[in-house]
Amino acid sequence: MSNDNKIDSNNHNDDNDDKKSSGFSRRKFIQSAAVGTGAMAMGGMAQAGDLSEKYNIDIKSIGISPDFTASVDLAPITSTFSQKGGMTGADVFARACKEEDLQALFCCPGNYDIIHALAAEGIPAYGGRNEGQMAHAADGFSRATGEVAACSGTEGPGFTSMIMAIGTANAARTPLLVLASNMQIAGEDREQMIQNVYQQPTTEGMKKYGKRIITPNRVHEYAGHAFRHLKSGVPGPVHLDFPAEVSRATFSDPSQLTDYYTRERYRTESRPSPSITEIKDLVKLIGKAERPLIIAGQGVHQRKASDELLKIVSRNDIAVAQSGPVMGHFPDDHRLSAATATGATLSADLVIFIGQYCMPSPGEYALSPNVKVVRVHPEQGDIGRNWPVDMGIVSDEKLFLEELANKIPRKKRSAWVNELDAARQKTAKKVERGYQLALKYSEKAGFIHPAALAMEFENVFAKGDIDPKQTTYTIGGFTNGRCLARNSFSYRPGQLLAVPYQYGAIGADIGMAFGAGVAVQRGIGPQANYKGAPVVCMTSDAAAAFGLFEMDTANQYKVPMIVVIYNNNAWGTFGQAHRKPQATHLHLFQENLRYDKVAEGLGVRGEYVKSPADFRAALLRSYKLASTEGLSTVINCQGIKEFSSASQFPHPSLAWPIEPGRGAVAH
Amino acid sequence: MQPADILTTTTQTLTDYASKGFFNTFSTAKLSNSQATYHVRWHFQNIYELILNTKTNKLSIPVILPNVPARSAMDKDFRAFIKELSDTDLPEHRRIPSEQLKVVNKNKGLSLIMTLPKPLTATTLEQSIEKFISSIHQVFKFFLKNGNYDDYVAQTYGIDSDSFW
Repeated sequence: MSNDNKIDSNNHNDDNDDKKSSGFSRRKFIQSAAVGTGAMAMGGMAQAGDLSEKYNIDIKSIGISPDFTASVDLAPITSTFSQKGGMTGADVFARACKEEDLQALFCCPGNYDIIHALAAEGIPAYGGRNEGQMAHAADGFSRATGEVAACSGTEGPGFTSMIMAIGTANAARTPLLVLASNMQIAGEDREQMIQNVYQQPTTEGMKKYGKRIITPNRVHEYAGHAFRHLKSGVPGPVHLDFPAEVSRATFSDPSQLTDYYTRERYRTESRPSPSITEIKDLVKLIGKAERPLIIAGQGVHQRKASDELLKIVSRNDIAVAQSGPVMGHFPDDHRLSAATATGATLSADLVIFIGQYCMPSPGEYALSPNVKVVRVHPEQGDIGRNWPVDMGIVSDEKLFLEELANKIPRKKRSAWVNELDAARQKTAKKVERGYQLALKYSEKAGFIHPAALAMEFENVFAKGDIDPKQTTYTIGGFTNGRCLARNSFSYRPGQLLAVPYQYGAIGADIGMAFGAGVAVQRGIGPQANYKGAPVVCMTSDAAAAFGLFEMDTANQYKVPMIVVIYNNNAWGTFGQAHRKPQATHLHLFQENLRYDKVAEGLGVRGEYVKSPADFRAALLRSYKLASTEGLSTVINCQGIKEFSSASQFPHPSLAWPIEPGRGAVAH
Repeated sequence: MQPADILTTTTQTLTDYASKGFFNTFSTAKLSNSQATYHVRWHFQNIYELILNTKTNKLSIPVILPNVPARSAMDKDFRAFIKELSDTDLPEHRRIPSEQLKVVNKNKGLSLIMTLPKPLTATTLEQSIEKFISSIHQVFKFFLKNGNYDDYVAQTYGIDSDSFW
């Protein structure tokens, strides 16, 4: 562990005298930084130190502002039409969000009317350092819970900062409510003031629904539109823009608003269910199959239908491969798990896709050319897209599974179960061989190989003393992302978030993990049993550059996170650099950067490791401090870029996982 | 089975696969009394040739992987991978008897040839076709994703490793 500038783990947020004497006062930090920057600083930092002494300004250690704590602790306000000045458009919208039980808002300052109204109304709100990361956090919260979450940014730059996250959420079919201010209608096309941009066209192709609200008294009506889309069928981002004329309009009476109904009247909880005939036909089809397989997609997670799925497959010995941006809705250690039985999916003679929102084409999956295909999906219009079906059933996933659970007979398929078991054992042996190779490489090079990182992660969180179901985690990065994906595990709903799912965003990891961390901290939905547990973010040096400052956010909101940064001095794309040596520099960073030191400067612990054994020890140490004291840690795992090269260090984990199967991130 | 029946059954089976979306496109390029040549657009959006010869009783894909020098590490690795398809620990419905499956490297092009079983019935023919097509599929889904061939895929198909999912 690094000791330089180490923060006392017991007092890292105290601004007391002891802290100052421990050598980590901000004054001393500024002074030492000034020395470090030397002549180049030309007095900039040095002046700060001098000034603090000259004027006796008490610049304290890193700590949370009392104003922050006081603000978070304030009781919410329920706005009413009878209050002085009536309700603003922002108040009306915030009330609608409250009525809809919106679980979280992640934002940066800007779009003030809306975010202030939402926070005041009591929607749990989190302010971060970058709108994009906060939008990823909302995505992460939603993935970990299956609930709607909101993000917000100011008009123009704040809004466009969220674009990558909106694209990521769209690919993952996350019910993400994207909110942005949009200057004033009165300034339209006049370039009046700044930050004018047509925002709705910018999210074209990456949202389920969007609207720039221009008629102030329709603000509640559009809140209804938004939640109808967020909470029905296949979810996806909904993007609302609020020009000032809308958010600041005032209403003294509900009659001034259009469609001011309660949520029971502007949307319904009724969902499509399968017909008796469809279930009967499907039961026949399953009965004829020797080796049936269910691909349990994201819809099973979002509709919280894991228990029903388990019941069905256990009765009839149907194999299951879970898929989607969140994993865990079918446990990897189940005797019927095909996700961990690589290759066995090729034997399936019947495959039933349930809630597979991001639909692959047949050539993308390791299935037989002759397999019969059934697709269960909440929207009729999507059935038959990409993959021709032998039978299509329009149904909500949970209702479908409930109906099937009532009708499916008991059946033993010993040969199929044995085949799955044999394939699982074979896969496990291959994984172990890969781990041993990674250990050899690590020893040879003196730096940690990404597959060794995956191995130690599994040793600690799946095979160690910690309950394997406990830790919610995210996987991302490119070089280490592939290794982690191939060797990932999940045993309960909402446990594993595959950050790059379908969209391949680099840099979403820390924000997304923070959002998941908030969900765990509050014990929302599937995280209820693990309330308060630390979350782990497995990421890369390339990705960390996007989100590392959100450790500040995690610290402020006391969300214990362990961020593991695989630092190989390069983009994961380094393996492609050799084709044009003149372009190699485009793929490289400075070598041996110290992300752990950056973390310490942000008020969290830093650890630096180079070997698998040291990594395991650091993980255990960090986990203990996160669990017992709520401390977050960044572990800088030093690797080398050459590990990304298949020609120099060939390794089976240097490829994206085979689909369907564990860690699948494409579909 | 008579040659005409073998041709008809094979064409029909492959057409069925195409109608299931397993191939992106499918066509019969040449057809004689004893031989059929099929074109399928499939992995990496490439067109692959499949040949059925009823005189030799063989189904083949003349070039499954191009640009692989004979006796190279990749050539050896490929042969080992194909050999595994005959492993006795594979279930019967997946296993291909080793004597039926042969790898040939001609002009740096790896080809895969399956000898159809005797006696041949409609059922055994359909099963053989399924196993053969599945084995080709596995080359792209498993063999090329074993961590060694990102550079090969990039150079041969123009697919970079961050796009090879």
